[in-house]
Amino acid sequence: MCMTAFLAVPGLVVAKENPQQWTLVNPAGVVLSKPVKIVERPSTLEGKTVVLRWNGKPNGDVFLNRVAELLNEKVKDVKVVKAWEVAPETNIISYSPDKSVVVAKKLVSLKPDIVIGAPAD
Amino acid sequence: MPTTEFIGLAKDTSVGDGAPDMSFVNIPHPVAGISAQDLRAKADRLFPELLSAATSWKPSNTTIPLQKSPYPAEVINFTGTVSDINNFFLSKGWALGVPIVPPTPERVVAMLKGTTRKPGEVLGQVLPRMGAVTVETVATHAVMAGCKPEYMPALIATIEAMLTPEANWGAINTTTGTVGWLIVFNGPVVKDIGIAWSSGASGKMHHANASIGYAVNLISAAVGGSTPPKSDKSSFGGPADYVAWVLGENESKLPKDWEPLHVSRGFKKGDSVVTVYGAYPPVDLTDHWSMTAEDSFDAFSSLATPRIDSGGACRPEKAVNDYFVILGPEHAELAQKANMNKEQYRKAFWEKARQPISWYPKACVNMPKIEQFYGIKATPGTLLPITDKPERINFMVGGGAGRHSLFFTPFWGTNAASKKIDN
Repeated sequence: MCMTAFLAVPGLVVAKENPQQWTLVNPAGVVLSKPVKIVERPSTLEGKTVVLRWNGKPNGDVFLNRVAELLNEKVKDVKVVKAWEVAPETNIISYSPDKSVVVAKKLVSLKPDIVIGAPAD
Repeated sequence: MPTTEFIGLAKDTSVGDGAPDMSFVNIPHPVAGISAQDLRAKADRLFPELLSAATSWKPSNTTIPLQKSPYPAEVINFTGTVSDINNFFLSKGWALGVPIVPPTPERVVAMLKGTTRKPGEVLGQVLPRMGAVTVETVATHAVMAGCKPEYMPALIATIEAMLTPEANWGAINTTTGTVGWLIVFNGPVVKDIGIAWSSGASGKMHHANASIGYAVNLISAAVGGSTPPKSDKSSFGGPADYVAWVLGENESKLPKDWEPLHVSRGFKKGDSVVTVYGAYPPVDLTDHWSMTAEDSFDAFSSLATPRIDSGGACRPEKAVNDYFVILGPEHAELAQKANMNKEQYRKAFWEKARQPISWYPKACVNMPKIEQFYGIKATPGTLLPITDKPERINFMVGGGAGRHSLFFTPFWGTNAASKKIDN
């Protein structure tokens, strides 16, 4: 009876929001980045220098140590450089593009033909 | 070589760094916390793929699109209801799952009247997406969060502080940790825009605190791309992902001769200053019993420990990061009764808040690094302080009645950053 009375009361309708045209400002912001040219891969790792880079997260070094073993075992005349041993200052999470450049420059100074990074986590 | 759970973040970072096309070899997650034998097995299985990526991979001929200007922002024509706008923004990662105010150009223009800064000024870029945040972007998010125009100078300064290297915004945006922002205001701005500083200051019902705390997180998501699960890797997330911890210092309850936080950090008393700090959720230093400061240090020392944030013996690098203590007024009163100035209190707190290295998980204790970062000779029985020196612990007074204080610990590599608030 109460429900019937409720429905019978004039003017008590559920308000409906009608679609309308909106103009909205895109909140995402433009990505500002300078394109980076990716160096071509060597056709083989034989005789090449491979730098392995660890960022200090647990077990990344353990994984890369095995990668180093496999490279030495299976790739002729490869030179494997463990960056975390010869340049421990690279053994960090960079957290910013500026710091990344510093780390990258140090890795470049090790004269790699290729760098393999294991961010782990 | 990211793990499978982190490939999304790795790709986003790569795009932000200007290399949308990068060679990845995915390691099945996890790498941490598994045996060396299992890890070696993963390396063995992936090795052929690694060799192929190292020699055969070629970048695709993706055309890099022309760089758009960061200002003015694009406008979007949309047909729908306010609910539809909210659903659309959420689907794009521009909202957090609670309502936003639609940012119409008129509302953004009205918000920009709250500042004299030029709308096209680029304040910086937010990791990991590297989206540019302009003054207009701040105004857009201020609209979405329901801020008033008079909050704009405070919000702009907050974003500028978050963009400093010390604040480590990119890390806060992407970590697996349960971290968020602590934002503290000092000086005339507290009264000018109604920042709450007393009872319940960082809780509900305070418009300035809540809307500023909401706006910074909207910017983190939309501009920085910090959305779960792809780039925001927080294992749990948390309420501070929606609204940051925002409060003013309760300068009226500072013990005699204690300088306010911003003065401790090098500003003048009359300056309006914001201090930001990327932190884990705080520990409530509840102590209803101590009648003296000395006794309260006893109570605090069991709770105020870097063990809760994997610092201390596990990550000795954090010994050189900032920590934060917000003393409730009733605890601050104990310092007043003891006639301790801020430096004396800080030193006494730091001396007492120590725990044996043997209390830390054996798997993480790194004695050489403890000795390096703390500058001490260490054994398992050594009582380790929070930081290498007491000055790294920031003290302030906040909140209202009740025998509670808060202890905030930093995300790894994070320090507090302060900025003067101009117009």
